[in-house]
Amino acid sequence: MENQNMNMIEVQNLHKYFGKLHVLKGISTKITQSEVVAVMGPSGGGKSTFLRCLNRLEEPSSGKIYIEGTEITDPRVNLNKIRTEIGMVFQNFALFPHLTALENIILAPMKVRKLNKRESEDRAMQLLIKVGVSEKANVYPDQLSGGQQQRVAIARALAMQPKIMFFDEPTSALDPEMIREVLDVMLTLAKDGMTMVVVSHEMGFIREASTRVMVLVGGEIIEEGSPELLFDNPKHIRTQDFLGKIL
Amino acid sequence: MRNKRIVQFINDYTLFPHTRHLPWYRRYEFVIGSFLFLIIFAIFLLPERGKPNLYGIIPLYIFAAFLFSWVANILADREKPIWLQVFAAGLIFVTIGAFLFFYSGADFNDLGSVFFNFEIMEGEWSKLIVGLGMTIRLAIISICFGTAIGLFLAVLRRFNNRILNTIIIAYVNFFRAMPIIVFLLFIYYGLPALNILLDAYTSAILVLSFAAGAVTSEIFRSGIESIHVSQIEAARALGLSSAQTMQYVILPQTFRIVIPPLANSWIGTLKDTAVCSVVALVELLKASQVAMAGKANPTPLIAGTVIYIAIILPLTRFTGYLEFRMKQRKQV
Repeated sequence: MENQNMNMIEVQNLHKYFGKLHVLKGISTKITQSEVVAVMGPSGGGKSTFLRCLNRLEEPSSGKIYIEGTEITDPRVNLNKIRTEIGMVFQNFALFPHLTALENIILAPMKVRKLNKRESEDRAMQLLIKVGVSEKANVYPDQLSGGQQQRVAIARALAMQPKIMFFDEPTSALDPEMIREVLDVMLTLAKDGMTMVVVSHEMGFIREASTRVMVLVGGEIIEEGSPELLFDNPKHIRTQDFLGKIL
Repeated sequence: MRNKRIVQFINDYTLFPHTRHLPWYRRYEFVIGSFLFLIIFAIFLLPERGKPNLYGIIPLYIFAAFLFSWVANILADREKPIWLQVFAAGLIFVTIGAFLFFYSGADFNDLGSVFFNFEIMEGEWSKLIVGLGMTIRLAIISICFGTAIGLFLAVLRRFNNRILNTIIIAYVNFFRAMPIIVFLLFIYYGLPALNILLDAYTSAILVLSFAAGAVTSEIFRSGIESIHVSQIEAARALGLSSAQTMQYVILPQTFRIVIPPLANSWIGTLKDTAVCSVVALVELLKASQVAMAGKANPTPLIAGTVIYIAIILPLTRFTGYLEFRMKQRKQV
């Protein structure tokens, strides 16, 4: 199993059905450390489903997924433990509304990693400074703007010190003015060497930050490559089609 | 041609020039005139006191119709002054009271001595207070047990175990369909046939708690299910276990949401304690009945009713206040 530790994530022949709907049709890929993989494609192509299968928020119908060498599709695996290595950021932020920003961030480290309050709060404040929302530490989510909420959500995910970060359309629910501030945080993360899988439509960010682009159409990877190759010279007709519509 | 001139005349001529923009039914002249019409009708055309015969009833209905139309005219007009609207609304109640007083054929002379006889209540108040103590004991204990049962069942349902769910749903539907008094009588009088002997107090607590449990389990369940699934996903994605998610994310949010319907159900349980009087438990209702029988006068029952209202009304108002606060917070 040692050689598989080179791969942070390995997906083998992943299939997902929602009833009769075949959403993911045999996805296979490997993601290594510090890679920033952008998943692109039209709606319903399976991008979010693919991402959510990677931490088993959706149950794969068949296929194998390995996170850091551990097969997470094995029913005996300790899923909670695996999930502490993966941070996830959602389109609708999903902050806990009954807790302040700071409390949102320290909840998991205290309860799952069993850190004490002082340590958790120190770490949380550092993260809040890093994402640029430190003055809102004791504010409740409903008093934060969308951009601020998303940045708190990113800090919350980072508080568990994950090895991998997933982003499921993180800026799709934001007003244009706030998209920039969130993308900047994500850029910093990418530059610091975090392994990231990002489902997004933000072409500028993808071009700038990603090391690989994966185009998912109809549940299949129809094209995969570096961003320059893809945007400037797409091979598959569907990719050209898709890019033509969004660029 | 002549109609047009009459309409013009009504539109133009008025003692109150500032009302010229109003239609005829909102002009002061019409309102005052129709009110005077009502007065004259009442004085001359309403029947005499006492139960009216068939012909006497007709003027009553006609008067009521005119009165309600007049009141509706006032209340529907937002431009009318508040005091007039209050007067009109009050007029309804006064008329209903007057009709009852004059036309129901009842003899109200002894109203005071029959229903509000304070002399008779001497020495009975202490009995009622003891009964109230029992009522409150029953209520508090049943509410505690019932709420605990409800929360427990609601969390159990999250396991989505088919057998467990069937049992829980059967339990809830049973207590929704069964009148409490029937079940209480069964437990207290029926079970001894199976050699299960429970005293009145235990039976009452059991029945009230399980009934409250059924109601509160539905309240908690709907509260839990109203929490968006993305909350659960975010918590699980952080590595929190199912139990931790429930404890730190779901339930805290649920409690804020369910307090208004929950408080309502508690008031319901408090009122249900009156049912325990049928198994010889001396709570407030039973104490009132005993005093009533002892003094051969219905006053103690009125006193008991007043005490019930005095206890429950503030609770109802408080619950309404809680609902208001919930709505306020949601608007943030």
